Amino acid sequence: MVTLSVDEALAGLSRRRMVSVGQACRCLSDTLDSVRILSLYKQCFPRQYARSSSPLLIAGDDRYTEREYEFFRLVNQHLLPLPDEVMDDWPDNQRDEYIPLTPMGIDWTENLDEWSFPVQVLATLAMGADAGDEMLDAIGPGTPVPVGLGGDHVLNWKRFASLCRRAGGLMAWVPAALEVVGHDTGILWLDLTFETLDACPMYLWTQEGMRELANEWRKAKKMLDKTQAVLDWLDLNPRPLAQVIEFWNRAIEVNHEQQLSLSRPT
Amino acid sequence: MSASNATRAASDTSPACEEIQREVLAALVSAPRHVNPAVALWLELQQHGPLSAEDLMAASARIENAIAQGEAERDAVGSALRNLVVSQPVPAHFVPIGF
Repeated sequence: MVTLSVDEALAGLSRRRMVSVGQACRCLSDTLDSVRILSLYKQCFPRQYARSSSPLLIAGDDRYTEREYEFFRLVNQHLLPLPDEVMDDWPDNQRDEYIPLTPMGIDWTENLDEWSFPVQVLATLAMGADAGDEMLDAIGPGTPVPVGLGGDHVLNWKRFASLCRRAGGLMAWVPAALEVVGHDTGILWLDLTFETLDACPMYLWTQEGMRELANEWRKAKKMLDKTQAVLDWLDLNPRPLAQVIEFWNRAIEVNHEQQLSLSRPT
Repeated sequence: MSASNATRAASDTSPACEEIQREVLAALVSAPRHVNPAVALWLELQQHGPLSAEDLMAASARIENAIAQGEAERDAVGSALRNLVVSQPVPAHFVPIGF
C-alpha cells in the first residue's frame, strides 16, 4: 500500500478533477503559450536554457512559470527592456501573447514640472510653446526669446542640426536630445509615452518580434546615452541653452506653402 | 444524425416523424462515450505528472489541435442546446426504452 501525505493526496485529486471545456481550453492555451516562450528561451539563450532547472509549472496565482520569469530576466539583461514591474502589471494580470512595452524615453507629458530644467526647456522648444520670462531668466541674461512654431513658422531641422554640429562639443548632440525629448526619434522605445502606449504597434512573442524590438533598443540606448550626456551638461550650467535657442531661431523659416494656401481664395 | 436535425425532429408532430425520433433515440443510446478533446488532453497532461519542456514542445501540435477541436465541439454542443431549449415540446407516441 502506498502512503501519501495529505498534500500529495490533495494535489493528486485536484489533477483528476473534471474541468469545463472553457477551463480546459484556457489551460491548454496557457500551456501552448508557455511552450512558445520556452522555445524562444531555448533559441535565444541555449546555454542558460540547458543549465536551467527552474520549475515548468505555474505556481499558485502566478501567471508565468519560474522558467519563463528566468527567460524574461535574461531578455531584460541582454536584449530589450522588460523590468519586473512591467511583467507584474502587464496587462490586467493575465498572460499575454504580446511582448510588454514600456516607455523608455523621457516621458514628461504628464509631469513636465518634475523634470530637470534642461528637459523643460527642450520640451518647450519641441512643443513650439512660448518660453516664459522665468525660464529665459533662469538660462541667463540676454537669452533670446525662442520663435514659436505653428502659423507660418517652421523649423529647418537640417540647418538647426548643422549649426549645433558646427558648434562642436556636446552642443553637437543637442539635436539628438531634442528629438528624444520631443518623442520624435522614430525609435519606438523613445517615442512611446504612457499616453500613446495603447496606439502603438504590438509585437508577438516570436523571434521576429524580439529581434525587431532588440534592434530598436540598441539604437535607443545610443540615443539615450547622448541625451543623458547633454542633459547632465546643461543641468550643471544652463547657459549654453541660450545658444541652443539662438540656433533654433536662426533655423526658423517662413513656410511659404502655408502662406500661399492661406492667401489662396477658397 | 446531427444534433440540430435531432432538435428539428423532436419538435415535429407529424406521424412521419416517429421513425426519425426512434433513430434519434437509437443514436443516443448507441453513441460512444466521448469526452471533449480539450478536456481529455488536459486531464491526460495533468495525470501524466510533471512534463519536461521538451515533452511540452513535442506536444504543442497536439495541444493546438485539441484546442481547435475542443472549441468547435463546444460551439456545436452549445448550438444544439440552444436549439433544444427553443424547441416545441412534443408528446412521444411510444415509450422510449433504455432511459
